[in-house]
Amino acid sequence: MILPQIQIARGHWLLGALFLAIILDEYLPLIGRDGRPARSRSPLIGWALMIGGAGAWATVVFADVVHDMLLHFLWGDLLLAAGALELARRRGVYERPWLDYVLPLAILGCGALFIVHVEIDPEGQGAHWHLAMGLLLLVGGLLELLRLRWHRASSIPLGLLPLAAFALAVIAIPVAAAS
Amino acid sequence: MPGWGGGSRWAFASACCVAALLLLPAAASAHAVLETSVPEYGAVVATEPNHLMLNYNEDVVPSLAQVSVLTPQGHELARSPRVSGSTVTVPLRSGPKGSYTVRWRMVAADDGHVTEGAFSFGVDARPVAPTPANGVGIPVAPELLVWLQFIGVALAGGALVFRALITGPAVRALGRSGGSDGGAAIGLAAIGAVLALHAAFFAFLVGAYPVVGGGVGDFVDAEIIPIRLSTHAGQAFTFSSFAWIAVIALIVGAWAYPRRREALLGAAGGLSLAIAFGLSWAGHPDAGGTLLLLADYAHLLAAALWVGGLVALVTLTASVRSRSGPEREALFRACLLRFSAIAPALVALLAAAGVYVAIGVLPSVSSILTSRYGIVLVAKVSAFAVAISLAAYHRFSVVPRAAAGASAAGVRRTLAAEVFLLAAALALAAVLSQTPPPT
Repeated sequence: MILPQIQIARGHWLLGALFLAIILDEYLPLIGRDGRPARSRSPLIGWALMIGGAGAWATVVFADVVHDMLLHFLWGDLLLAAGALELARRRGVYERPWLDYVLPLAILGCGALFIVHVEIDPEGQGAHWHLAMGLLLLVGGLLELLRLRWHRASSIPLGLLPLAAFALAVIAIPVAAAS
Repeated sequence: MPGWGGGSRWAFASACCVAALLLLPAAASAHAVLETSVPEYGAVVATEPNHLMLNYNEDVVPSLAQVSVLTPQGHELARSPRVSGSTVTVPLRSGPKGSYTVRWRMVAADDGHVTEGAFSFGVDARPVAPTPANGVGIPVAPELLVWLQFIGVALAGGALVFRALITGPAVRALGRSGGSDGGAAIGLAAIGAVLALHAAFFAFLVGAYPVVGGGVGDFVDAEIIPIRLSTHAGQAFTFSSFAWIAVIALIVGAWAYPRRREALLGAAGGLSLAIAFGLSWAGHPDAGGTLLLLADYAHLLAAALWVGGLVALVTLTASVRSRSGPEREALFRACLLRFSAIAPALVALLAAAGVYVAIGVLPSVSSILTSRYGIVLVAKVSAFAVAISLAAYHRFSVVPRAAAGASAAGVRRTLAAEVFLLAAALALAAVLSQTPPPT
């Protein structure tokens, strides 16, 4: 089976919407029952990352060229590993202090892979879009890492803006490609 | 900063998603991808075609279009290609019956991106996988990747089925609630599934590399779809990738949701063993008919259950760390006795299916010693024979003593030795899978 381009575009919309949902769930300020800011313990983000990883692996299988296979296989691994760790942490079966850094590092890693994608195929379709999306993820991941490292008590989600912009870009990129 | 309750946050998130999904585009495009061909991938045509037609999803540069059509003997049949927009027509010289390999390289007219690929079709004959290009070596030993897939199936399939059929009933028979703790079993299964998924991925690429031709740099830009669609290795890769992802999701679910652990791990184990069919499907026995294919699969299943069961037995103590020493000892003894009851059946199935496959693949008895395939087969059978000798020692010396109430703790070392012997035998089986059978 060869996926038509319109199906690939629809996949982008779905992934963009999914990403938007999980970062809003994760980073919008949440007030706990005690009235203090709390961090989401929803397993949604863990499963969403796993589904994203499965989607990336599906792209590996259906990719038309080898470099897309290689890149998406790294992407799939990153998302699956991050999803498994987040799910285990949120379910309370595996809790370590360093797990706080898993999500920002996964976002950072995805941003780096976007940049690599553009480097491998600089004349490919929508290279400038991919570059912008990679930079948004890098900025979002870095800001969240900084927040965790130096402003742990702060509830201000510094990375939310670039990450939301990334989600909208994922959804909008097929529009730009078609115009 | 004002915060929101969970319900408000979800309503807002959902509204954003719905709004985002309303931004519907009309189309998108990419570099030159081969969409259809005449003859198409894997087709069988009655008579030799006088031309080949390739249709791409976008225009290609006429002066840079390259197409090669090789006969089974390696003779070139293609004349200069004619390009009209996105359609490439290649006049062909006449050739014999057999499987033809088409290898192409195109440059997209809009962005100049180079793509290439290969596929095969048959003239009054079943097409086989595209033949490797001359002088192109394989950068990684494919035997290693097949071996890693065998190990992955044994760890994820054999070890988890052992847990469902041996450990669980043993725990219940000892009058304790629930299965064993599961940490080690989940870890082993996860390692196995991840190993097998990645080995399958790289095995597919390593197999495709010499088919596409050119250097590694060219291969990175090669179009891979026809090889995935027209070869059993490609079809097995497609099936096994999704199935291994499902296995990984089940294992992660078992880790995160302890209440459903046993059911999820059982499902993961069963699915892992089902995936092993892809290894038989992509191997030599497939060419020998359905019975030979099923025999090869049964051979592989028996080996996976044997190896995986032994690994699970050796690591059982780590799996039940939360229990007291005497409880661990009693559980280990119970599992050893239960496994020893089914192990002879596994060994018998392994041997019978193996003999059937050997008879089906080898053309004569003499080819056992006169062909590379036969010699590797002898080495593999020898390794299994040594492992079976050790298994017999366990069955007829250790198990009766354990049944009589003696401690079985000391047997773990010889069980581990049996695992290593079987791993060596699986390595030889992997070499065998990549060795052409004698004709």
